Amino acid sequence: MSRPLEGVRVLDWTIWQQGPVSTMMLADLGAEVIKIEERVGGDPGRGVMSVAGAMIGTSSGPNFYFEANNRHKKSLTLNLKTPEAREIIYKLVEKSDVFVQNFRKGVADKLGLGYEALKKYNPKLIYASATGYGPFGPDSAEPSFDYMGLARSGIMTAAGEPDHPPLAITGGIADQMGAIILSYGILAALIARDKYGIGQQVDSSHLGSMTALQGLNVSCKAMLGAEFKRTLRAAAPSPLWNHYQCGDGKWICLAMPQQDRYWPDFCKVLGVQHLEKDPRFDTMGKRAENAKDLVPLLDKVFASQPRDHWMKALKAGGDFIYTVVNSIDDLMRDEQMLTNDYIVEYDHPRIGQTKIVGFPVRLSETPGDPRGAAPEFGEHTELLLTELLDYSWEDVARLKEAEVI
Amino acid sequence: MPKPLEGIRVLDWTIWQQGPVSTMMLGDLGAEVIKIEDRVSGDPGRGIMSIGGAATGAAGNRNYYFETNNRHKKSITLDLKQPEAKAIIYKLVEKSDVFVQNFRKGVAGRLGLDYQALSQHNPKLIYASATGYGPDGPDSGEPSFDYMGLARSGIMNAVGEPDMDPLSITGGIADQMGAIMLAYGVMTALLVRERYGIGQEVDGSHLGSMMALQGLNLASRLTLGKEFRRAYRTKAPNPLWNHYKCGDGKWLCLAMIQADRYWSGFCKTLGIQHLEQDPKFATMTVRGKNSEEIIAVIDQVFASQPREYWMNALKHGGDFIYTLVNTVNDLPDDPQMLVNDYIVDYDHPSWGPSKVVGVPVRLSKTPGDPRGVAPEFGEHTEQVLIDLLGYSWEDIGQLKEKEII
Repeated sequence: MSRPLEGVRVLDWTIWQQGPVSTMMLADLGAEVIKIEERVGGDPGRGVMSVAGAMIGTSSGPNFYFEANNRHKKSLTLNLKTPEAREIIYKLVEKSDVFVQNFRKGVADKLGLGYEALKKYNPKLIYASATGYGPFGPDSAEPSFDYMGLARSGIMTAAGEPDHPPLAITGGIADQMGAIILSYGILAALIARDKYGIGQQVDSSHLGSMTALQGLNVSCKAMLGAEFKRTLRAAAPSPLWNHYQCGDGKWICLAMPQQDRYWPDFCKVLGVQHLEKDPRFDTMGKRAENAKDLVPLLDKVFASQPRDHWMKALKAGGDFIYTVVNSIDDLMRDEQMLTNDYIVEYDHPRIGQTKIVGFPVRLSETPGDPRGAAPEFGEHTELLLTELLDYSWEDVARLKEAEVI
Repeated sequence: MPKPLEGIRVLDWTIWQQGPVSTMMLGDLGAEVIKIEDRVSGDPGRGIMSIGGAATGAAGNRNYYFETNNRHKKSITLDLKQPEAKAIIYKLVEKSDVFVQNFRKGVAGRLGLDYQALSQHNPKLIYASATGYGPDGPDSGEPSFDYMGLARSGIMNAVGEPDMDPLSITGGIADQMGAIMLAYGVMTALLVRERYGIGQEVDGSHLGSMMALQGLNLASRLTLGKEFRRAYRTKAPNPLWNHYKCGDGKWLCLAMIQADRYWSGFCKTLGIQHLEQDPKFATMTVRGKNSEEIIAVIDQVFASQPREYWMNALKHGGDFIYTLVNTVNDLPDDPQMLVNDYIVDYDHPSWGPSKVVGVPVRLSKTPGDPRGVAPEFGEHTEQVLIDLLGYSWEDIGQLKEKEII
């Protein structure tokens, strides 16, 4: 069986993370992605040598940042300021289904690569933009990075505890989110093209996609005028919906919403049967009222044994809802991640044996496949021009000389 | 122009948040969603009266939690343990495109509602499951709530600063994420069905989708052996990629990745020109080494004026990359949210004028629409049976008498 998007061709004029990840996801599903890069400079993501102070690659080898965001793709280098380069793009547009870009508002139009220009060459083109703040409004032309998406979306004040200042979240999740929702929009537009025979513009932003991530929280404010408050772990309103540190420093997390169902067995497993009928704690309401007394008692119990002990005890002691609190590092060894192909082995042509992030959704008949290498800079320029666009080798030589490619 | 999923019928046998949000998103894009509820208890989300200690109730005996997760849907109530109820579902399956469920592994099979059973009635059916830990592996049968997704995915150790305990994030983002990726998988399967004429199973989990959210962080660990570390705000390696508190207690956020380009203009705007050429701060590299010292200075400067002052100063002082740190509370008043329809007005039939979270991605010709009401319990049972399945009023009378509907 072919992959879901086999035969779909995507032109990917994107840089850094938010744009590139959206097309990488389409490539995981089988789309052919042609990355258009400025022939001097290219995607600055190629040059990222450190993120937040951590070295992420060497100047001679591939860096994981570029690799993770650009696997599977072909690279075509062009000098976009020359008319001949534009012409090459127009020819590519005629043979493609989707065009994705994440430049600041106005840049594409200035270079003749806006929707109005490109759709003349392919009226059914899906033209997708990854932006910071959406297509309209006072900030629609402002540049944006991941951190802006965290800040503007409210999530920095939804993370942590009430007395914390706004907190950052590492790992580029606003960029990931913008990418995921853009690629979601492209899937919807492909369906619409199949059904109605039309192309259209798709816009996804840091702000809009982070709103979707926090949909319930934002709805609460939008509908009721209230928001979820950050809670103090030490006084969690439901002590059975809380995380606890075990004797070996590792953490465990409980999530039992209908907690009266679990309370007697839970007391037994923890060896605190005397608390079960304690009038301060014997109902959900009273446990909430007296949480700041109960949580420290439970803290002490969990701290008396290593996490393994408690994981086993909870497994054997009842039908509880609990799990380990992982770090990113722990995911590597989490059997659940490996069995489900959330992390897969990949023999990379240049890096060698490595592991990469898998495709997040399982499709039983047409699964996605994350195994693919990011291209060298301009690796496919000649191939694409000669095979896809029928340029002759003479043309290619001339374009090189004119510094178009 | 109709919406992208107009004509697609989705059977939605889901409860709480993760499953319901995935079908709500398909409803936003135009799909007809029929929510199948147990005739005695229904979706427990209907009964949620508080979350994290905050009341969720709204006018008309409705709560925003259920409303948000179930807008657009029809509700049909059935006693799934009775064979006649199953017969009704099988008939619905024949007339539907997608079936979505989020019960614990094994439940659907016991009730005759798993893929094997349903695909006999519609071989092209797309059967989607929202799970905690994916379809395979030791924990695939474990129950999971949002908090489990946070804990297991590593994100609780990616929030905040190095010396902090694992931290929670409010608002149900793991549930949202699981829902988003499941809807993403369903759309992919719909495209596949069009192209290859097949149905299949789709699984989107808390663990897998939270992994996609943290894709870059995990890729770093997989390729390089190290993860992004949480950073101290007061020692951020790039002081121009950091957040700062202003004189009125409000925060703003800077994200200038190529910091040297901005440093001179930034010093001028902040009135610290004397530090521009200071050998301790003059380049990105030395600022990284002396970041604690320079951040203390910048902290002091920002604290000397309210945020509005600084937003103005930054706007006029150069082409800086900066934004405000919102709380979720601030979002409904942020013009950027409103003008992009990330939050829209909606005159709810039972509450009157309200606001709801919009569709996160803009499609220029076939946009989604978030305006839709969540159904009363069983509101559409009779309509679905009569109009869609051809039952008579007499049949309905009988089914009611037997407590099947």
